[in-house]
Amino acid sequence: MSSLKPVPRSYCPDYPRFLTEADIREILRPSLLARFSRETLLAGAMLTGLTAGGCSRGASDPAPAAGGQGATGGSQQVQRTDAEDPPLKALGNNTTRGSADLRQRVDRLVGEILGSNKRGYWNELTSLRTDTTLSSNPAVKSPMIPISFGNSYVGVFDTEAARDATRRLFTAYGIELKENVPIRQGGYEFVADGFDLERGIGFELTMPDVAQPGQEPTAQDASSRLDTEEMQALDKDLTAGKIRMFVAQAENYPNMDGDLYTPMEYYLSSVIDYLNWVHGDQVVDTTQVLGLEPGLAYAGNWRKLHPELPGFEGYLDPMPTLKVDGGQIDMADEWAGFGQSSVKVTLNPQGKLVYTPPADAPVFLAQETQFACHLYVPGEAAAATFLIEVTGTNDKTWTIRQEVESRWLRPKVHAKTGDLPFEQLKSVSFSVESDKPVTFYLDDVSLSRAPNGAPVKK
Amino acid sequence: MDLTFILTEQCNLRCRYCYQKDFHDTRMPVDVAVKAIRAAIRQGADSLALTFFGGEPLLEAPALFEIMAEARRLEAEQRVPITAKVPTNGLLLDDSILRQAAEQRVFISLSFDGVEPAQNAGRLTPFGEGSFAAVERALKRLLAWGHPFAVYSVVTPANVKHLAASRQYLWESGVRIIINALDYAADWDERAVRELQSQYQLVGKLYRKLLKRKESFYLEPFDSRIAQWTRAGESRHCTPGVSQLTIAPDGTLYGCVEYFYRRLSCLGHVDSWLNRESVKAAARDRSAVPEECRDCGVRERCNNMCACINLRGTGRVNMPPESLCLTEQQTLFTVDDLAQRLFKERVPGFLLKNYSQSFHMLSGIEKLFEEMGVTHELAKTSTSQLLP
Repeated sequence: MSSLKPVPRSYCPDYPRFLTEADIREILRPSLLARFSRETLLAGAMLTGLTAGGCSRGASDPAPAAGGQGATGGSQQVQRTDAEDPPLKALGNNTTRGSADLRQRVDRLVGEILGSNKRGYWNELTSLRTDTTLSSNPAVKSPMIPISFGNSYVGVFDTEAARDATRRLFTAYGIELKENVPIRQGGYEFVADGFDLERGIGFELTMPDVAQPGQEPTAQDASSRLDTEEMQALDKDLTAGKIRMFVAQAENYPNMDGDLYTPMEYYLSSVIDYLNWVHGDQVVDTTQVLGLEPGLAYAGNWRKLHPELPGFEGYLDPMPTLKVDGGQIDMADEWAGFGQSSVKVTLNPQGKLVYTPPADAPVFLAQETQFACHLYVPGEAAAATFLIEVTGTNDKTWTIRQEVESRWLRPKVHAKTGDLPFEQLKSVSFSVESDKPVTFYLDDVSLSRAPNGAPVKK
Repeated sequence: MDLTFILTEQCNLRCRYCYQKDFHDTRMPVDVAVKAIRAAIRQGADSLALTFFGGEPLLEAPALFEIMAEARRLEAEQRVPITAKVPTNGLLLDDSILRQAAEQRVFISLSFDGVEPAQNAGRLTPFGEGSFAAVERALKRLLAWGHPFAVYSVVTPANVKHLAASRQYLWESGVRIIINALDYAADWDERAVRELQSQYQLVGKLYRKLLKRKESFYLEPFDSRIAQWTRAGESRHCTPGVSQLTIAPDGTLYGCVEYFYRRLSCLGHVDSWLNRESVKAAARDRSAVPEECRDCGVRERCNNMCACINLRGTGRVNMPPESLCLTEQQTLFTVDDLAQRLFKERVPGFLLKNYSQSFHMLSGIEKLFEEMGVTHELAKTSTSQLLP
């Protein structure tokens, strides 16, 4: 008989496991707000699964009304309520492309904001997503950071730091913003995080709705969000030149495992794009972030060692090089290895995807060759075994059998041979050992020279 | 996956409560460790946490850094993030080791029980002398080093009366990550448990004071035990053979260090990797919860399923020792009392640490920076940004 004495099952610590709506309301009382911003606390509480749904800025903080004084407290009101207001004056041609001095200032500022902490870890595995909800503004860039292997988002990036950074960037362009300026127009109403009353330009970083897993999200109050109708109304006014407003959604900038660098980098890139655009530089490169390809540090080095097969390089379209027999194939942007898109393939049992190099780009290979690719099998607990046949122009074949147990193949060498039986590539075929159709995404396929005559991988 | 390498079974101290009772003259060849790392990556580990254990692992410092050099190479080649730490008694820490640790991003955890009477009650040289002076020198060296490190203390009935003074001493010395573990194999009688409770209350005062001062720190048992309640979903249970392995100097694989010390339940070898049947059998052995624990109100927060502690305490993997039951209960009650007060006072640091997932790194900030391999200065900066 053991001498262990259990604690009564009813034991419950007298502090909450998670905060209720009432707790949060109480915590958001002014005295605490003096120490924390609402955004700080709410951003922290959201997406946690710890909050009981209903935390809302509105709980203690009424939405600003026209002429009224929202608790978010902008002392200045924007009252461009008159739809007859004339279009805003142009802002001039102050862009980073046109002014070396501005370029230098902006670069320095970005360097300060991002710090000398190099690139965030997730940066290297991140691809670029664009939000074009406001069609009259340039696309807003945000990072698509893969969730895999148990990593997860822990809320969003540092919204306070982002707002501060935005104000500083506007200042670099000569625009001084007032904080928390209520905006009320026909069809939309919110409190801009920053606004220049004279020039009619500002920005808003909208906060996401708060949700507990499995529950319906509780909407933020009007001051921190713009719903679909409001965005459409704002878009109209932007098109008509009645207002200039950079809008980004905080939920598009996730905090992946504490990597605050990556989302901030994408966010700043979008702000600078916008500021250049609004100053006349209408060319916005939606393939680059702060002048670099997403994940360039890693992608660049990887590609140097493992150049993709013709058709897969960079942002080229590999579709002309691919044929599917028994299945479907299309380009997809919901997942990518490096860059923005990949090939989405659905193979029926016995189906086959065949890559053939373009006639004008023959591929010659060494005896010591390695095969690498990005490959992703979506779905919970997905697993598949791939058969990859690399065939030469002499019809001899190197067969690779590759299991994808954990859904996502990292960009690594999946097989090597020291004895490739041909010199020129004829085709690479992909099939899946399965009696059901299997969908997967494929990107960055490469066959490159293995260093030091690598042995055959068992 | 966590890989613990027994670099050697030799040690230059003879701590009274050490897991290890026999000090064989064994050393792990570098290629054994490298094989294990390669095998784990090959088997699909998406990240690796390496721990260099012993004995005193720094007796094999050259091997350790040779392994780390290869590990870093593999990390870059295979894109598998690798963290590394070395618990050490500190006697061999010198500039060369610290430089290499910084270069290779090896996190150092100094085994140090605190004030002189606490340290000398348990951590003795082979000649039976106290080690306080030598380890305090190591602590000063670490503080001057400028990188994050932890101090890991063992609390025993013999040194428990110095617990609060030791925490205060470590904090004032500049230590910011203070971890402690109880020696569950010791005889925790009623008097010792009462002393533990009153010492925890004193440590709690320090914890509260630091939170109110918005300091950046990690202080056990408070940070970890409160988070077990408020962040229950984030806790991770050890699963020997699945999420963690201990590698013996000869390459034999065990579920954890206590299995190794007892040469119990070998799970495979680095050459052939895991024997699935052995892993399954070990999992079966561990799966049964003692009947007394099944209805216990603190079961989910208790260490009752730690095979290592149970083996040491009762010789059975799924039977916790009575000392664990007593001390765990007292620890949790004391921690919960304080946490309740901190919540009622709405202490911002408490709220952020426990109810804000965006600021999760605050509670585990040192762990986070440990994993990121950034310097202590950066850690401080970021913390101050988080706590307005």
